[in-house]
Amino acid sequence: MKISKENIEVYLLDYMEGNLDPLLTAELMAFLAENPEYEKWLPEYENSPEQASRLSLGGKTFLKKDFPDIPAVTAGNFEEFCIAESEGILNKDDIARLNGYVAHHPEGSQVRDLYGRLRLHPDHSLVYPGKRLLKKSTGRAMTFRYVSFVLGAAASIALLLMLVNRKPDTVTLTGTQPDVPRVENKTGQSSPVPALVQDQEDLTRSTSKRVAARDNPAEIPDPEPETVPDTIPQNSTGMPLLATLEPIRATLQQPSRNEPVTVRIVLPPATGAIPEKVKVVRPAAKRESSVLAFMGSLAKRLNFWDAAETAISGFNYLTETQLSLSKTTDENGKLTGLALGTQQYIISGNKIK
Amino acid sequence: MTVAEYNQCVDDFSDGIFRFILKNMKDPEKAKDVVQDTYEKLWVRVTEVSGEKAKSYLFTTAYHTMIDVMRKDNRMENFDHSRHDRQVSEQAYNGLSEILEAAVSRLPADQRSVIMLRDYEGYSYEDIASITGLSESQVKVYIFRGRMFLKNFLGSIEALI
Repeated sequence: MKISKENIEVYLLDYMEGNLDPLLTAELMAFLAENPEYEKWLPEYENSPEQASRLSLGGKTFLKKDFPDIPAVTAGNFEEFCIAESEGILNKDDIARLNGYVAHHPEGSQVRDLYGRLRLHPDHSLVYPGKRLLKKSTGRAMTFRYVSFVLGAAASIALLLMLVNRKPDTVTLTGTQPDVPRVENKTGQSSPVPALVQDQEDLTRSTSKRVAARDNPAEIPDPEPETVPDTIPQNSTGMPLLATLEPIRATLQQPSRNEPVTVRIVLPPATGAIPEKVKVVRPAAKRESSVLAFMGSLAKRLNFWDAAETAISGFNYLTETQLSLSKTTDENGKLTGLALGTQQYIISGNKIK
Repeated sequence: MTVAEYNQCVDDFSDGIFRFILKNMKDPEKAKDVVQDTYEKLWVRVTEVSGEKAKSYLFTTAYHTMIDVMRKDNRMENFDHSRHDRQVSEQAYNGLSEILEAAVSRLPADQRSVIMLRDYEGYSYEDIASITGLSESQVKVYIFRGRMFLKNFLGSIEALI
């Protein structure tokens, strides 16, 4: 605190008590040099008998830590004793001495009584109105927040993984063509239906069954071992239908909402050899059937991308983070990659081709 | 300090701090702001301040925040005896508490603060010195001079009545 005319008395008292450090003492002397009217309050000035009675430095006795050290209660220190009494720092002997002084000076009783009534009492009707806003959430709420954080993160990661790891629903279909249907042309001549057209029709029927099974998971039958015919089917001319024995790989594109099912058929190059044993390959069919059924029913109701963005938004809201989800698409608008970004890291993945 | 202890501090001390600030600033809205700032500062350092030191920390922070606000508002005015003496003769009081409240409001800010901390909260001279940044001797002098003024004010009013 800077020495000023308002607090000079305090510094002078500290100086007289020897409580001023050298730096403050130097500041005090500098202040007195600039304001000589206060020099009369210095101890040397106080020691002058004729000036001592005019000294107006209040509270000097009060500053003394032990009132018992004061030899007697006088007119000069009477009020200081009264204040000390109201402050509760007088012992019984000092109070007795004060009582003795008042007994001999009745006019002092009024002053003593005034000091006794000066203690302030707090107005308890004044209360702070915003306590509820000042309080912080307790452990239970923090636990809920932590759980929300974990659940939000788990949901986001799960959705991201589902989007990235959505493998093509690949099934390998084989079959035989017991008889090649024939169609008639305009001239009335019949000709066999091309094998590819026949295969497409079979595949369409198979896909329709799968879609129906996806929509109604309860109706999915257990996969039954399919038997391989012992004899190679022949057409009406008695020749084996080599083309129909070639495996066909069909890729079912998982439809988005309100999009029709599209089927892409890939025909491997014909080898011309008749396989010894032909099987219907359904890898982990039973396990995947329920998952696919669930995914199918989910896909009917949800747009994965919208769900992921909603999850990320909820995650950001709950955790006050700034996660971002972005995707890359090919020229046809098909999803080819995803990226989950934070302020420091980016996790990205590309769709398996 | 735990969150529960912090919330307990809100229950225990916010009213006292609010009264202390309000009596000094005479502006309820600013007093609320000071209390809010004070608890925000405590929350920032909630892990550093122990429960035992919380009250002292709160009053110290509130006091210095109040001083900053008052300085900012340029309301650090010294007591003008002539102006207030004139007001005293024009004002009517209904009881001792009102007279004391009026007298306290006329005290210089330092004296008012130390007397309030002494009477309202029962702080020792050492604690008040710690809160206000004054020396213990300065606190005693301010209390002495404040009591003297209150006594003279009360005496003059009673003489008028």
